Amino acid sequence: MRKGFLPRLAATGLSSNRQTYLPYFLTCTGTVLMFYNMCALAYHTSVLSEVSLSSLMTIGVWVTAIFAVIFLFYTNSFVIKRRKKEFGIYNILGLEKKHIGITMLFESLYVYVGSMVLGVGLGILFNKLITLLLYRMLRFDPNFQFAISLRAILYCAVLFAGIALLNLLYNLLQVRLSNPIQLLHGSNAGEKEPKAKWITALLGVVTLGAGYWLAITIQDPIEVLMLFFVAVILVIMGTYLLFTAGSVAILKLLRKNKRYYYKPAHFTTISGMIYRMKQNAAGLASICILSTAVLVMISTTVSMFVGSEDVLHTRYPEEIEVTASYPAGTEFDADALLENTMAVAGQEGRKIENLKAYTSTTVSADREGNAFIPAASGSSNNDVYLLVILSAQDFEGFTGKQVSVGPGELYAWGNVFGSAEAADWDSIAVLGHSYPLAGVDGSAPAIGAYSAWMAELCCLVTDSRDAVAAVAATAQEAYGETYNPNPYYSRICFDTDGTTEEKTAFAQALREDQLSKYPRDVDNDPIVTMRSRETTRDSFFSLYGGLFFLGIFLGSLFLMATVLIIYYKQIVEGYDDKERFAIMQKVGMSRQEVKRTVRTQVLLVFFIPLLAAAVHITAAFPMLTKLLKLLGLENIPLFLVCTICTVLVFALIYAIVYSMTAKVYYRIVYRKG
Amino acid sequence: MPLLEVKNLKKVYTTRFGGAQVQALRAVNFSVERGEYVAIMGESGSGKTTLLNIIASLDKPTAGKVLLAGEDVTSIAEKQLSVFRRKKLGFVFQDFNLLDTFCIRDNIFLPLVLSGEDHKKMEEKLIPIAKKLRIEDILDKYPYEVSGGQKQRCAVARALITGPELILADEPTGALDSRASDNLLDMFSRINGEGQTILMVTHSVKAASHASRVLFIRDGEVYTQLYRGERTKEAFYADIASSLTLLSVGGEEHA
Repeated sequence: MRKGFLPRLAATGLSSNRQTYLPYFLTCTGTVLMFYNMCALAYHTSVLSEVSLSSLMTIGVWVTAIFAVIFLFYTNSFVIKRRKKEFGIYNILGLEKKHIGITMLFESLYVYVGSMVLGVGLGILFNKLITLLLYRMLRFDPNFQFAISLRAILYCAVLFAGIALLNLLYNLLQVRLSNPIQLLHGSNAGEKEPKAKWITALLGVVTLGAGYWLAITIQDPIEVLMLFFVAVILVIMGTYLLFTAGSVAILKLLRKNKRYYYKPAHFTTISGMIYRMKQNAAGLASICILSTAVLVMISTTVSMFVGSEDVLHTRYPEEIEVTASYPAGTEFDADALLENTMAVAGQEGRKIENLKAYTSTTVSADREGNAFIPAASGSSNNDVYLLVILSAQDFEGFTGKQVSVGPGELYAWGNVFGSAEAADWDSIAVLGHSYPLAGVDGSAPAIGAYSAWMAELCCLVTDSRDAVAAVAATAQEAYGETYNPNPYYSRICFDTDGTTEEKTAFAQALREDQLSKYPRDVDNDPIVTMRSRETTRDSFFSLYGGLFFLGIFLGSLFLMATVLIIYYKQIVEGYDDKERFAIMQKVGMSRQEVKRTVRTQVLLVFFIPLLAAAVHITAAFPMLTKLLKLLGLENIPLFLVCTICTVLVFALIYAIVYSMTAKVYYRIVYRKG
Repeated sequence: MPLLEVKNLKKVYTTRFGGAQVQALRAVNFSVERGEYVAIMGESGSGKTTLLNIIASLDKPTAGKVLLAGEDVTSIAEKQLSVFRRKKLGFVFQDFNLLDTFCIRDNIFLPLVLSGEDHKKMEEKLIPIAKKLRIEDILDKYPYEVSGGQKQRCAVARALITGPELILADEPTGALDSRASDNLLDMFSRINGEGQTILMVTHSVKAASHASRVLFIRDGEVYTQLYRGERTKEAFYADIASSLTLLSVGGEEHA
């Protein structure tokens, strides 16, 4: 055989099958573009790591990769089915299967290289645009250095080479398994009716159930963060399994119901769907997953954006917060810091409201009964307690409540003191010293600054600051080297009156004053820091605007993919169905009936995944609210409204695509005459 | 009154850009009585299939009329056409036209389902037909699981189940081997014997020899016709064969 014949045959094969290969090629290119952008955003956009979104983006990368594998495999199986006849002719004309294999190898290579070059090229352009917009919205330096992400290119190359190889192997297997005559008839051989696979269906129920269970039951925010990805994977697996096995089972049940089945619209739809369910299932599941991803991304980012004022207030409960961390025995004076702050406020003419000022120290500990003992080093024990120890005077400065605590006594505030176990405790031990209890409060301590800590909080109130110092000294002994070098923590927070400009001016004056008066510590960290809600507002909003933009961008990307899949799927099926509809029209199916059947069929294909996506998002809702809480959004009704609106808008877009698709499909299958 | 009357039927195909015109049917006239079994023969391109398509209301004539039980098929409104086709006509095609997505039973039910018939009635109608066509055992199989002869018998069952006035068969034995062909033709004869009117287009002399009358079509016109009368199948076969020979030789002389 002459050299270069097979590569040329492969090229001819592709160009003469333009109708099938062009959509496939474009699908590959689009998927590459999407994956490149996900990778580049996840690994190369430093802004995102600054706002700790990288981990979420990494999930996005994985989801996109899984989606790419399934979707391209599924599309390829369509393509190869249509080409079997051609390979059969080659085989009959004397091309060995080996040569056909080599031809296929070249074809895959062309498609791979072509879609990689085009996809990555467009991806880089697209990524540049996105990054530019993102930086502008985040008000970062617009003269940033735009980098082409080599890592993302590498990931793309590897992933899509893997997919191309998988598809090639599948195609080779198809050719190897059949003789020329079977190949010749390959494109119109009836697919065996799939068996309802009960084990797969059961597995699907189990995985989906596990995913839902995780999403609904997990309460702890940290666990939510860790297990979110697990839940996502479980739900994706469950969706695919259920769609493949469950859908056939449901359709067969519908077929058994004769009164339902033998109706003009249901009759052809149900049998057609059973016939093609294997392909349908993967497609429908992909559509469902993508729709869910779109809904989650858009609803969360929209509600964060809309709720950013809320988030600002959650993150910055007070207008101004001044904090200082310092070691024991320094000359730092918390009272002087307060006086100084008041003085600056006086100079600027601001009135102080809702003042809270206190000094505390914190010690982490394990608990055995009523004894708090030094936490084992490196212990990842979940029962770690964070003890916040402060004097009665500071407690009042902080909460406004007065408690009477005698010398050597403690007033205790924490969930554990409300438990049944603690009912008969009249004293507790802290790092070896026993203290009689002056009183307890069994509720969860609302200590703003500590609320994000992973440990359970306990607030212990002593009679004096000296007693606090004594506890700190004990802790120093117990922990030695590993003890916090700055155990004392003073916090002053308050609101002020005045306009936005006046508030900003005051915040700036206070900052300058502190910079001049307070030195840095041995590690060159400032001892005193301050935050102001007003001066943060701008950057805060631009950050949330950026997030919003990112959500809309990714959402649209996924939406586009969804729409393309549905459209492509329906068109390909339309060509498959053309023959069937022609026969049915000959037998006496009217135009109206063709129209109605098409509508039912397309409607099912469209709205089953949408329904499943709606169920998914309902189950994910509790988990999402906790994730949002971690990010500072606690306004659940707002999130609920945003989610519902997103679903409605999505359904609307969906309905438009549906009617377009149904029209095109109808035009394909309806035979005039 | 004859069941089917074809009067002065004319069909001219024009290529899409108004170029050459092709006259498929010039002036076709014939009629079919109730209970007749008529075969239409002719060479490829003689207009047989066009004629059948027009009778089946799948195509519109350029001029002329087709009356089925007195009703003009060519003037039925688009909306009523499919109902008409479903109720009055039964089709048997060369390539069976069974749907792979349905089992045999559902394929046969298709026209009834489209008519919105009750499911129990459908079963009742199916039983005698399935018995007559000997397909009771394969009703739950799929078309790709049965032989060509079985497929064609199922197609016949689908044509019969609506109780049509007229069965239109387009080369029904074209895709069958000789045994299956004989089988099917016997089936047709028996159905015809029960009073069913059949109009069959065919190439096969053997198939035509089962009919009670054969029409020969040439260049878009009915050229001649033969009645079987009291002759045996074999004698009729010989007559048809010699008519065909005459038809083609005569054609050359005229040209």
